[in-house]
Parts: sequence; structure tokens; C-alpha cells
Amino acid sequence: MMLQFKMVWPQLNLSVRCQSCGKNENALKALIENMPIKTIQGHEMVGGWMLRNRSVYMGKRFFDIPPQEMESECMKDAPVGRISLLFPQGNSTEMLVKYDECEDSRSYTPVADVVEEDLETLKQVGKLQWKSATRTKEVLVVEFVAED
Amino acid sequence: MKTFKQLKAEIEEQIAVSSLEPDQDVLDVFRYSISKAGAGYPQDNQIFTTWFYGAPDCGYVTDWCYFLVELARDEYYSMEELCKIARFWFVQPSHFGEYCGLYKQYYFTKEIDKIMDTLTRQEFVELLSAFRAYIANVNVWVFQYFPWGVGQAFMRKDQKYYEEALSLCNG
Repeated sequence: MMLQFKMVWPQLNLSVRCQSCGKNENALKALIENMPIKTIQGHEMVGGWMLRNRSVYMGKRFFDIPPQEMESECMKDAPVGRISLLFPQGNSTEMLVKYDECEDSRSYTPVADVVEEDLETLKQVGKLQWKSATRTKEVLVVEFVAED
Repeated sequence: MKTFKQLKAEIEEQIAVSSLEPDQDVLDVFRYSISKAGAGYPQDNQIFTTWFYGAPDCGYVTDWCYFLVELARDEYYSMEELCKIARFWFVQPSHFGEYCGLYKQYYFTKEIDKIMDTLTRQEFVELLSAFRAYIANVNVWVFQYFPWGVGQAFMRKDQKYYEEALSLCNG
């Protein structure tokens, strides 16, 4: 199984490719097995420039990896493009995608990276989502699609 | 009283309904500023205090469910203890959410409360996981409709800001 997937924002006609970051591959595998997943795109409101998906539903495979078996990482120190999970468990998880500077000193569960060539697209989506959250309130959908 | 299977199916149905379409309770409270349960009425009929207090409680319920499921993985805690902790942790914030106008989540809390003592450990985990997924969807819509733009009126200030203000006063 290739540990890679795409994030697609159909209304924006934009997408980014994502691949394993080499950490927590069992968690990434469980996430990918639940794809395709559609949810509402959100934005972090205090920690920095991160896209935030507050409800990523995992209805196909129950996520049962204990937190103590997963590696964690301080968001402030994570590279731009890092995709991390927050409280993955059972049927759901939160997901954060760092697209620029962050001050958040809490730890998250890193699983993947947006590929280098797509980082500018990621920043573009991040800025549009911030505009939506604070001004236009446009509802944007994101799709997570597994790639072969 | 519903069975475990009936209640879980009912919650899962609401998860599907609220994943990509707004939850009606959230629309009423956060988009249309309607608080039917009375929260905010005594405070000059404002909605802002209801938003301020009602929104975080959704987040708390989501996180408490996460921690309860983690505790349930540990056989050290008996089912009786887990049910007691659950009632302490998520019934109160869920009830407050209802007072703020988020009715459906408290309806589910009450239904879970009714059958909680009859659940096996595995059923407890599955039911709270499903409930957490539903509350997470409610939380998504709360964040979507919360008017974050008002934050522009309350920018962070620092020493330099006040020194400049002081110099203006000393003119």
C-alpha cells in the first residue's frame, strides 16, 4: 500500500499531494483506509497558520492505535507542509496542516507532508480559508482521496 | 429506552446528515442568532454571551468523550467507575449546551445516560466514539459560523503601543 493521498478543494479547483513523513505510518495507513473522506475545511484560530479539519470521520476502519504507541511532535518545530492528527480515536480525528509559521507549543501526531512542489498551492488554500473564516464565511469542502 | 444498537444507529444517521450540511441547532444559534432556550435573554437579550459560553462546551464534550474512551481501554477502571466518571464529565457541559440552544446533542446525552449502566465495555467505547464524531460535526459548524472577524476590534497590544499612547498624552 502506497502511503500517499491527495487533499482536494473542488470549489477552489485546487489540490495538493501528500505523502508519508516517515512517522506513525500505522496511523497514516489507518487514515488512508478510511478514504475517501469529505469534510468541511476549517482554520486554526490561535496557534498559527494551519488548516484545521475538526471532524475527519473514519467510518470504515475503527482507529484503535493507543496514543502512547504514536510519536508526537511540537507544532512550532514541525516543518511547513506537515500534516498532523489530534486525538485520533475510534470514528474520528482532527487534522492540522501547517502552511506557514506557528506558535503552537502543543504536541500532535505527525503522519504526512504536503510535497514540496505543492507548498505554494497549500499556502494559497490557507489564505483563502482564513478569509472565509474571518470575513466571507464561505463553506469550503475538502476531500481526502487515497492515491495508488 | 433505546437499545445500544438503536441509539448508535440514530447517532450515526446524524453524523451523516451533519457532515457536509449545517446542523440546524448551530444554524439557529450561531448564524441566525436565535436562542430559543433563553440563554442571553436576561443579559440585555444579547447573543454574544451565549456564543462565548455555548461554543466551548461543544469542544469540551468532544474531548471528554476522547478521554473516557482512553480510560475504557484500561481494565483497571470498572464499568461502574467509567459510568460515574462519564456522568461527571460530559452531562453537565452537554446540558449547558442545550440551554444555549444546542438541543440534539443533549438529547443524545440523555439517551446515552439512560442506557449507560447496561453497556458492555466495547459498547461503551463504540457509543461514545459515535457521539464524539457527531459532536465534532457540531463543533465544525460552530467554528464555521462564529463571527471570527470581530477579533479585528480586539488586537493584541504591547509595551510599544502603550509607550506611544503615553507620549501622545504627554503631547
